[in-house]
Amino acid sequence: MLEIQDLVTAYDGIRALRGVTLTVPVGAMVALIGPNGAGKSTLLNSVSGVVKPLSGRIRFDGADIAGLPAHTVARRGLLQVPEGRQILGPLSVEENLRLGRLAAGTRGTADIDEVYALFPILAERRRQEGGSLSGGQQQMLAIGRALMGRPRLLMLDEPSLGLSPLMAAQVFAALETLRRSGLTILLVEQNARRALDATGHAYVLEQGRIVHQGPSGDLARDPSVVRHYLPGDDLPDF
Amino acid sequence: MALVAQQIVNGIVVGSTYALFALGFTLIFGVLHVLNLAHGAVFMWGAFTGLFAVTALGLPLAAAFAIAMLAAGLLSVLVDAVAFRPLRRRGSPEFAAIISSLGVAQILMSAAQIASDTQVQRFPFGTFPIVFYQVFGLRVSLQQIVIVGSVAVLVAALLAFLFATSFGRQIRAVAISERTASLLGVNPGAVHALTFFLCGALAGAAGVIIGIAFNSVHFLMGEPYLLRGFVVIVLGGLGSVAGAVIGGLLFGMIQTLSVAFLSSALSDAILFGLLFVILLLRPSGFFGTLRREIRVVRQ
Ligand SMILES: Nc1ncnc2c1ncn2[C@@H]1O[C@H](COP(=O)(O)OP(=O)(O)OP(=O)(O)O)[C@@H](O)[C@H]1O
Ligand SMILES: [Mg+2]
Repeated sequence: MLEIQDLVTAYDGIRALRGVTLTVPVGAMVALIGPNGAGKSTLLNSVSGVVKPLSGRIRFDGADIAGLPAHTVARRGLLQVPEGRQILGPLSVEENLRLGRLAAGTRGTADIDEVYALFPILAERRRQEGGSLSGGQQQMLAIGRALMGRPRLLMLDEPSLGLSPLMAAQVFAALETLRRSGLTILLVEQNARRALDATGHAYVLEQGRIVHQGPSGDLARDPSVVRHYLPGDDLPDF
Repeated sequence: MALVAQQIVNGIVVGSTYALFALGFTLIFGVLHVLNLAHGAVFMWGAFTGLFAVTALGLPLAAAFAIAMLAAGLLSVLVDAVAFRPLRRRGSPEFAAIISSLGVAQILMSAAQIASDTQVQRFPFGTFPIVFYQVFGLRVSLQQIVIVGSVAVLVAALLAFLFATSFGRQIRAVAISERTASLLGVNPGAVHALTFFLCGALAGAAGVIIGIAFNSVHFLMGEPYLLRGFVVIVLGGLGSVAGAVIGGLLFGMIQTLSVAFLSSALSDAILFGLLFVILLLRPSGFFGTLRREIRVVRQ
C-alpha cells in the first residue's frame, strides 16, 4: 500500500533521511522505532507532504505521491496523527472532529458516533475546548480526528509520548481495535517494547538510515536491538 | 448631557465604519500573521467601484453596494496573489510582506489617481434620501440608521460564516496552525484566498458607506483609515474579530467626543497617544481574552 524507496530529505542541506526504503502492506501494522533525532518524524512528514523530499520515491496505492501538497495527500486517505497531537486548542472537541471530515472527500465521511464509540470520553467532552483536554484525551481526539477522514493508511507519530502508562495502554488498545478492523497502520514510537508487541513488522531507523528490519517478534529478540532499544529486558535464554 | 448623548450616537455611527474596515484588516492578520497595508487601497477602490456603478451604470445603491463588495473582494484576492503568496512560497520574513503590500498599495493609489484625475468624486445628489428623525430628543438620520444596520448585518454574517460553516472552521484552523490544518486535508492556499476575498469585500462595503456618508471619494481616502484601522486592531487585539468591532466603536466614540469637546486638532494626537499607551501597557490589546476565537498561535 505504501512503498518508500531511497528517500532522502534534508533541512537546509543537512540530511535527516539518507536513503530510506520501507514498505507497509495493505492491512498490516508496521512499527518504525529509533532514537531521538533519528528522522522518524521527518519520514512521516515527507510522506505527508509537510516537508519536500530531495529524492527517492513514495508510492501510495501505486501512485507517486512524493512532493504532493499535504492536503492532497490527506485527501487521498493517507492521514498522519502528528507528534505532540497538534489539537486545535480553541476549537471544541466536536469541531476538531468535524474538521477531520474534510480529508474523507469522495470516500464518504466517517460517522462521528463511530469515533465516540471508540473513545467515549470524547463524547462526554464534545463541547469542551480541545486544548482543555488531558494529554491522553488529546491523543484520542487526534486519532479520532484522523479517523473522521476515513484513512486508508494511518500514520501515528509517537502516540504514547508523555502519557501515563494507563493512558498509553488505552491508546494502544484502540490501535489494536483499529488494526483488527482492517486498517493499515504505520506506527512511530520511542517506546520500542510497546511498538514491537503491537505490530507484526518493524523497522529501526538510526541517523536517517534503516539499520534493522524484520518481524517485530524477531527484532524483540535481536541482541543489538535489545541492547539499544529495550533496556531492562534480559535476553531470552536459548 | 443631551449633547454628550448625541455625540455618542454619532460616535457609534463613525465607529461602526471603523469596525467594518478593521474587521478585514484584523482577520488577515489573524489568519496569515501579516499586516496587509494594501487594505486601505482596496477600501478606496471599493468606494470608486460603488461610485462608478451609480454614476456610470445608473444602478440603484443596493446593487452598487453589492458590486463594490464583489469587486473589492476580488481585488483583495489579487493583492494576495501579487504581494503575499510569492513571499509565503519562499518562506520570507513577515517584514517583507509589509513592504510588498505597501508597494501594491502605492500602485493601486496611483491607478486611482490617474483614473480620477486627482479629483474628489461625489455621488449624485439624492443617491441617499436625506431624512432625519427625533429619537428620545436625539437627532438621528436615516443614513446613520442604515449605516449602523448594514454594519451589524455584515458583522453578523461574518460571525455566522466563521463559526457556523465548514469554510469558517477551515479559516480558523489555518489561523491556529496551517500545518495541522493541511494534515487534515485543508487547502491553505484556498483558505488564504477566501480570507482575502472576505476581508476585501468588507473593506469595499466600508468604502461605499464612507464615500456616501462624507459624499467624497478620492484616491487618498484609504490612508487615514489604514492608520485608524491599525489603532483599532491594536486596541482590540491583533487577530480578534470581536476586538475589532468593540475597538472600532470605542475609537469612533473617543474621536467624536474629543472633536466635539476638545478640538479636532487634538483628536488625532489623542488617538495616537492612545495607541502609544496601549502598546506600552497592553501590547496584546484590551480585549485579549476575546482573541481566543481566532487566536494567533505560532508553531
Ligand atoms: N524543521 C527542522 N529544521 C531543521 N532540522 C530539523 C527540523 N526537524 C528536524 N530536524 C533535524 O532532523 C533530524 C531528524 O529529526 P526528526 O524530528 O525527524 O527525528 P525523530 O526521529 O522524529 O526524533 P524524536 O524522537 O525526537 O521525535 C534531527 O537531527 C533534527 O534536529
Ligand atoms: Mg519525532
